[in-house]
Amino acid sequence: MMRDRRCWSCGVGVADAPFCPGCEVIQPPDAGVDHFALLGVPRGFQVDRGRLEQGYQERQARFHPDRFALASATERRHSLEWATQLNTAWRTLRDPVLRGGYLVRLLGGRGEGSTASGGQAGRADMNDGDPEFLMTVMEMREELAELSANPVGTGERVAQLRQEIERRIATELTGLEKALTRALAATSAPVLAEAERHLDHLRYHQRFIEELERLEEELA
Amino acid sequence: MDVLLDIAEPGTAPKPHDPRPRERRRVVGIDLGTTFSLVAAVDLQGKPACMPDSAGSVSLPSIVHYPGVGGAVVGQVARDLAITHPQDTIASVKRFMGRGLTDVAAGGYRLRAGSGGMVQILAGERWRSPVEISANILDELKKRAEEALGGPLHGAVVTVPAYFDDAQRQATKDACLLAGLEVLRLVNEPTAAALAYGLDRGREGIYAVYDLGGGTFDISILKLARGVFQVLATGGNSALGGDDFDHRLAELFLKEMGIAQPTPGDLHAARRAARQAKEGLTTSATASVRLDRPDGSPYQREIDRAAFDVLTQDLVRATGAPCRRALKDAGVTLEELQGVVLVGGSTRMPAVRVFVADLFKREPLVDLDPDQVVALGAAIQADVLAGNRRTDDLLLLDVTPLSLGLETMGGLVEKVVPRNSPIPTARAQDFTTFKDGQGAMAIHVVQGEREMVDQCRSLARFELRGIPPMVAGAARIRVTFQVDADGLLTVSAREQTTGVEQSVAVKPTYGLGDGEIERMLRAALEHGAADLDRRHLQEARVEAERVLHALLSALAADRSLLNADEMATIEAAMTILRGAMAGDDQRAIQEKIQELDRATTFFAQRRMDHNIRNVMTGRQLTDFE
Repeated sequence: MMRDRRCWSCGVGVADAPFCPGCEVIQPPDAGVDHFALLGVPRGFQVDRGRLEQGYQERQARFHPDRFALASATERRHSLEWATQLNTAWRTLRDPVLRGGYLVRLLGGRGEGSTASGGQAGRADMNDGDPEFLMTVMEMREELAELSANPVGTGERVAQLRQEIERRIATELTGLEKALTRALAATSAPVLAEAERHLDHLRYHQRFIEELERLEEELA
Repeated sequence: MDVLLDIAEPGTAPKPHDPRPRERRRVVGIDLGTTFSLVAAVDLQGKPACMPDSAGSVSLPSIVHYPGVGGAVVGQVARDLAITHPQDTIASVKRFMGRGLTDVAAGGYRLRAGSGGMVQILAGERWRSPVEISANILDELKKRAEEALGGPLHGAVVTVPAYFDDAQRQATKDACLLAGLEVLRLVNEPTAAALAYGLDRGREGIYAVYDLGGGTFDISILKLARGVFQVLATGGNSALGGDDFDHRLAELFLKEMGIAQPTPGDLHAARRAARQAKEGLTTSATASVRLDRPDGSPYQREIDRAAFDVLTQDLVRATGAPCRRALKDAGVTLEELQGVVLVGGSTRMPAVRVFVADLFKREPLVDLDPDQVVALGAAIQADVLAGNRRTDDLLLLDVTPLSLGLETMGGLVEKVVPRNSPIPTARAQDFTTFKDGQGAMAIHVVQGEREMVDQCRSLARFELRGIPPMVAGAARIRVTFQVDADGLLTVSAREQTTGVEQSVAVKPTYGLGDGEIERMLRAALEHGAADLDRRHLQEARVEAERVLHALLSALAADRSLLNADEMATIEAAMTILRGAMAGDDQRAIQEKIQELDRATTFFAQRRMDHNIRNVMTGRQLTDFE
């Protein structure tokens, strides 16, 4: 979609160009552009890591504030906006859980915002409809608490726990990918409940891993 | 001619957004280290080099001696004076930067809490902030550079440990300001090191930089590709370094010498011997130590490397956890690492090298001088930021070293910008009110990884006012953190339904206040070095004023407690002090303040007794039970 936009500096029409075709001055970024388009990678749950990194680095090399250290205040501000947006996009797309949540939001689901309520949501939303998952999670948590209380000589059990949680994460990620692929291909309004459920589980597991890591650190 | 013109070839004129300079700017990179400091610049061929002093030494000991009269003495001479004047000679001042009294070990110095909570050190008969002491070191380097480059500096890139928090960074910036240096950028030490390494060999891939300096430990994971130096993660401990190894060894010597309460002189001597032994052990299997006991008899011992390693192994091991955490934050496995670079003089210790090789499962790279590599990298970045270099061949992408968050209910921290987020960054978090009709919300910004507010560093507090009355939980307050490419934080809060907004550029509550810096600066700029003396004179006058005022109010209240002779004595002392205030001898004023103090001690005592009697008179005994 082309935008009807004029250069803030010389008034020439610039459409979507990041630099004015007339005076070549940097333009503000389009806040509405999605992370995939911004970094030049195809929209989907699987992202080519090399392509993502290259897209990110090439764009930072053009827009980063260090490139505008001697430019005017307005140019520096736009460069800051570009670099900030690029960093947000890169951080989101390189992490599968953040990326999954972002895709769900792009498709109109609740996703996970980068907001506090979002951060808390994982905890609060676990109550309904998933007794089996809740059961397993509680068991693993109990074991972790037990090991943390008396960590001496628990190296092997901690390693087993790590294997189990990693296996569970891999399973959830596979499920998430399937659900998202279906949703992305849907011709009518996509069903996102499945993807959202996997995301909730994954966030739960991530918190568990953080606590497990604290214990591993103690043992190391 | 000291201006080099950059003439574009026809048809290749610089683009407007490609700001190529018209002249080459005199800029330097400065490594302001705990034990040594260095200054480097890039030559016309694009090669960075450290600048030597007149004796040919590039490393300036970060030691400042303050004689009672005259200016500060910096470097090797100060180091020699440390033995005879231990308390007036400040070493490792970097440990005190941006720190409060409770954060630091005195190490034999006379400390007190200064304004803004930052520690102050008594040296050369005056309380000094670590910022001022660091500025003296920077000043020495600046002079060296200006002589070598033939003119005043346009600016400098100054390095800090990656793990320095906001208060420590701000203190470093303040020191530069005070030394009259324009800071182009504070760059993290490991990043600067990687810059020097990467450019030196045209290396690509993912590298770990393990930087164990005199007083700080840093680990950074960086990715080098196509001229972009991207920091993936950093970690470390800003209070762990080579000094700790010296102290450990010095403690052993003092214990064996039977010195339970070492004087500052004992400490200096023991630490000096310890440092020499430690350095000796990097190349030899044993080192011998000679010190004098308090009774004059010699203390002598041999120490071998194995014993030293056992004594300090917990220090070496303490670097492991930050390394593992940084790798994890970077999302990088050991197999993906291209290499491990060693930085900092303390990485010369064989035990450290063995530990690093074991931790990262490979032999570390040591082909650049670990003492110089940080300054060299800083010089390269300074050259880039000054526009001396073609702007498209190098870019540094850095991260926030510590998480930034907000205090929530119960003193808990809600992280808004997680550590190792690439900067610049902007992150928002929504909060709500917890009481019906709550009209204001306190925003408390903190930095650190711990979960409780009191375990993190407080950066700023402000209040969002004017929230319209709503039931608890109905307001939506979005707090946005924006960190720019320099790592400076701006926080704004906005109530979403009404648009009420407050914002604050975060200056750490620690460190020097704006006014204080400005005052110090004005003094330094307007009159040169002598004016710090003028400032102290002014401070002494203010102090005298305060003392006189207090005494006058006491006399107004309790003159009846004095007989005529006593009154005359006090009045004479007051007149003498007023006389001294009219002159400009700061020390004379201070002396007269003390004399007046002595002349009025009995009066103060008498007033106190009198007041106590007054309070007790007319009360029943039961009141005191």
